[in-house]
Amino acid sequence: MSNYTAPLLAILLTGYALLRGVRMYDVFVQGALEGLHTAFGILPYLLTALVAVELMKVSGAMDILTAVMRRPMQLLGLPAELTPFTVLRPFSGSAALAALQDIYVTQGPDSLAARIASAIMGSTETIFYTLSLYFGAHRIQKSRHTLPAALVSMLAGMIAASLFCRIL
Amino acid sequence: MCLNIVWAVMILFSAVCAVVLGRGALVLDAAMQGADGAVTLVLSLCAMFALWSGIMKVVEAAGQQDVLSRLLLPVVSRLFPQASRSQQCRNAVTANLTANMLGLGNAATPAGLKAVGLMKELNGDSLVASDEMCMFLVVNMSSIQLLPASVISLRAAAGSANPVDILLPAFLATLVSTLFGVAAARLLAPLFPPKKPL
Repeated sequence: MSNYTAPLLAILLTGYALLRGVRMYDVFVQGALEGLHTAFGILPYLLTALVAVELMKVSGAMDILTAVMRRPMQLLGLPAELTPFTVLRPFSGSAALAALQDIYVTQGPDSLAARIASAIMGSTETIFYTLSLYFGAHRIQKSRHTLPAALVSMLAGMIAASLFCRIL
Repeated sequence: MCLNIVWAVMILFSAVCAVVLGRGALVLDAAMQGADGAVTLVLSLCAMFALWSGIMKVVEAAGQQDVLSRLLLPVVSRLFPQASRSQQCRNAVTANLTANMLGLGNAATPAGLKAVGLMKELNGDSLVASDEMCMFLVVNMSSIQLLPASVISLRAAAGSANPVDILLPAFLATLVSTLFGVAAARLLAPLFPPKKPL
C-alpha cells in the first residue's frame, strides 16, 4: 500500500490544483518560506525549554519529579519516561516538542514510550495557551467549565494514546 | 502567562537540587547542551517544515478545505446551534476547525479569534463565556488533527523505521479526546452557571 499512497496523493493534489487554476509553483514556494519561518520562529522557545529540561536532568531534579509522578503516571497507563513531556504538554507546544525529541534520543524513536508520546503530541493541545489566547484576546473573564472539560479531554486522549499504541 | 511560572520553577528547582546533590559544576555544561540540542533540532525540522507547509499551502489554495468544511457543516450546526444562526460566525467556526484538522495553524488562529469575537457579540458582549464559547474552546483544545506532520517529521529525523505508524493510534486518540471533551463540556456546563464577573 505504501508503494501507492504517496504517488496517488501527489497525482490527486496536483490534478485538483491544476483544475482549480492554482499557480502551484508560486504557492508552494510561498508555503515553503512560511515553513522555514515557523521552524526558526520556534527556535527560541525550543531552546528555552530544552535548557530547562537539560538542567533538570543533570541536577537530579528530573529523578525527583519522575519519582513523585510515578503513581499518577501509572494510573494513566503511561511509561515513567514520559513524565517531563506530560507535564509540559498543556503549557507549550514547543516545550513539549523538545521533550518529545529528548524521548526519541534517549529511548529510541520506535520504542513504546516514543510512540505513545508521539500519539499524545498529535491528539492533545496546549490547553493553557489556547485558553489564554482565545479568551484573553476578547477579555472574557469567566471561562466557566472550559478548563475542567479540556483537562478531561486531555486525560482521555493520553489514556487512549497509551492504549492504542499498545494494541496497534 | 503560566509558562513564566513553570519555567522559573523548573530552573529554581534544578539549581537547588544541583547544590544539594553536589552537581553544581555540571549546570553550565547542561544549559549549553540544551541550547545546542535546540539548534540541531530546528535544523533537522527545517526541511520537513518547508516541504509540508509548501504542500499544505497548495491544499489551501486549491480549496480542499471547502470540501472538508461542507462535510463538517452538520456537526457544526449540532454543536453550535446559536452561533450557526449567524452565517458569518458559522463560517469562522468551520474555517477554524478545518484548518486545525489539516494542521494549518497559521490559518486556524485568526479564524478562531474571529469566531470567539462573534460568539461574544451574540452573547450580548458579556465577559462571561457562553456554553457555546466553552464548547468551541474545548473542541479546539482537544485538537482533531488528521495529520500530525511535525511529529512525523521529527520521528523521521530521529531515524525511525516507520515514522507514520503512529498515524492510526494518534487519530483514534484524538477522536477519543474530542468525544470526551464534548461530553464533558455538555455535562459540566450546568455545574458552572454563568454568573456576572466581580
